[in-house]
Amino acid sequence: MRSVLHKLQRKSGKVSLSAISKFTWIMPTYFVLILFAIIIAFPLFFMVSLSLQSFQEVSHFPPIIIPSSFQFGNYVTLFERIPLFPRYLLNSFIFAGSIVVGHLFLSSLTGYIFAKFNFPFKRAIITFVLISLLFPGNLRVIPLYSFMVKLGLVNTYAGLIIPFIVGPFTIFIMYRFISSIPTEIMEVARIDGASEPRIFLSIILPLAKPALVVVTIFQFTFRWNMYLWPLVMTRGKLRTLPVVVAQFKGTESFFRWNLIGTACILLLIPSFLIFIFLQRYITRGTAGALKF
Amino acid sequence: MSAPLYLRKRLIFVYVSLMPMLMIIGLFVFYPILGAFMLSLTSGMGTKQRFVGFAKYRSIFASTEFWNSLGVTGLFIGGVVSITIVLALVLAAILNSEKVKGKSFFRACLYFPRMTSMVIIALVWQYMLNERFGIINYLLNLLGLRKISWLTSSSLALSSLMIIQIWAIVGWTMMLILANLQGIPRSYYDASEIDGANAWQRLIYITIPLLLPVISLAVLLCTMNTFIGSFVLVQVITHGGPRHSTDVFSYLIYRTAFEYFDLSGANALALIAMGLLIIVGVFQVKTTR
Repeated sequence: MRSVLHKLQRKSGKVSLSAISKFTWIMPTYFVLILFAIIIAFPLFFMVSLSLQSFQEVSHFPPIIIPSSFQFGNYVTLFERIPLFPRYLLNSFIFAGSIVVGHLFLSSLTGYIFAKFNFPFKRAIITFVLISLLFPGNLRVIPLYSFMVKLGLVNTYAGLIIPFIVGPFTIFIMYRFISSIPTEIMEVARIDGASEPRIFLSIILPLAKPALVVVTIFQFTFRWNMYLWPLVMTRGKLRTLPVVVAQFKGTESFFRWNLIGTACILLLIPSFLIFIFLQRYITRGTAGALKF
Repeated sequence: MSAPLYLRKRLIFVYVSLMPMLMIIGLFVFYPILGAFMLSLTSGMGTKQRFVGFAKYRSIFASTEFWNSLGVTGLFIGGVVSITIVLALVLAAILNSEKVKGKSFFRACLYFPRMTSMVIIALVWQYMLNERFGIINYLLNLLGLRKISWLTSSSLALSSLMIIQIWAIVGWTMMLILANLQGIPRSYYDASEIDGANAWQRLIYITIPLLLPVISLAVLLCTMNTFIGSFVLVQVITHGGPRHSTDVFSYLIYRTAFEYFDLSGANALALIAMGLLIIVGVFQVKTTR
């Protein structure tokens, strides 16, 4: 403590009262932070524990935090109780994956054109896209559903995926990023005789990798965890995982919380993995393309 | 006479590329809204459909369910967003100061809920808040307090859901604010200290004005997120709550469509919600000018 006071003394010439009071609020601050970290992290940790508890432990009171033996068999039991689980997993993958691919391609293309080209009606088209931001997906669900009923596309992959395969939010992320790519690169490529599609695919897309990664993480997690839309649009075999996990609780006469925990962990893993693996690509910048 | 070939090719590229996106947005964003409007003016299903004008809207505005839901939703969103922003600001301030060690650890911790699904959050919390064998009540017991019926009491259920929602979003809201907070140059603070500003004045005159844009963005994102999350929480845990105390608007729309089989009413409600959203949006834009 003395060294801190000495340092403060040398800096300001005197030890102000605030310096001492600054020091005394460090302890409670740490306390608050740790409390928060526990509050935030605990439920998830608890869920992992739940997934490995036996039924007796889960319905035991007082609640058990660390199970006495890890019931990895829960995972097997879950697959027995929900035989179509792999199918639901696949459905979620198809749903989230297709939308991600659609966004990566269509939104970056749109963002590229908005950023680097001038053409008649550009203003109108951008306004068109901007206005669509006023109608967020969640509110559109029922109108979209009614539309899908009319089209006969309820409970189909197409009906599930296509309405969301491009979105204004992603378009503007790509727009902002691509704006920062120097236009000289494109001009050079054009002089070299490259066609426009070629420029987009071979030059712009690779340079936009950091933004594409952000979009991937964002959209995949968002669509993987989407609940209301698949709930409304899918039945039976086409259901996505979050819907199945939520309904799973309802079909049991007495909630088997340990299996619910297991289902939750399985639901969590894919988006978690994507998040972990793609994190490092965000920090790698665009250096390299501009070395002439 | 016309533009050179390469310019024409470029224009073709532009319009061909924009076409799919425009079609999808036109067909799946704007057109269904029109369809919803048309549908909301009819009544009855299938062959019994008939045009009834604004009767649906009249009956909606006359129903207590609607106003109750509006109130519940307003309370939910207002409470969650305001508390979240305040908490996020405080946490961001703490994590921004140099005196705290292990910042990245805390930051990683706070980011966890973002990576999970609202469904998972709802299920875990439902288990923890269970009146009889939930861990929260167990802790209260240990402290000598009585057990609280978090989710089964009509006066508490909404607040419990609000706590869950706040828990879910405070992490990334804080990250958002922190990112902007770190962008404020230290020189501003140092200069003001020389001029004799104390910590409180520095907060009001430097930090908050510079943070206003991101706070306004955070409010927007939190609101959108809360609206989405409210449906999951209600549908999974309380189903509208003990005596309609958690009947959030998004859940009302869902119920109207799939429990009352009133698709036209549901569409009307959706349109009302969108109208409200637009009004709030316009209001927000006007006030930030």
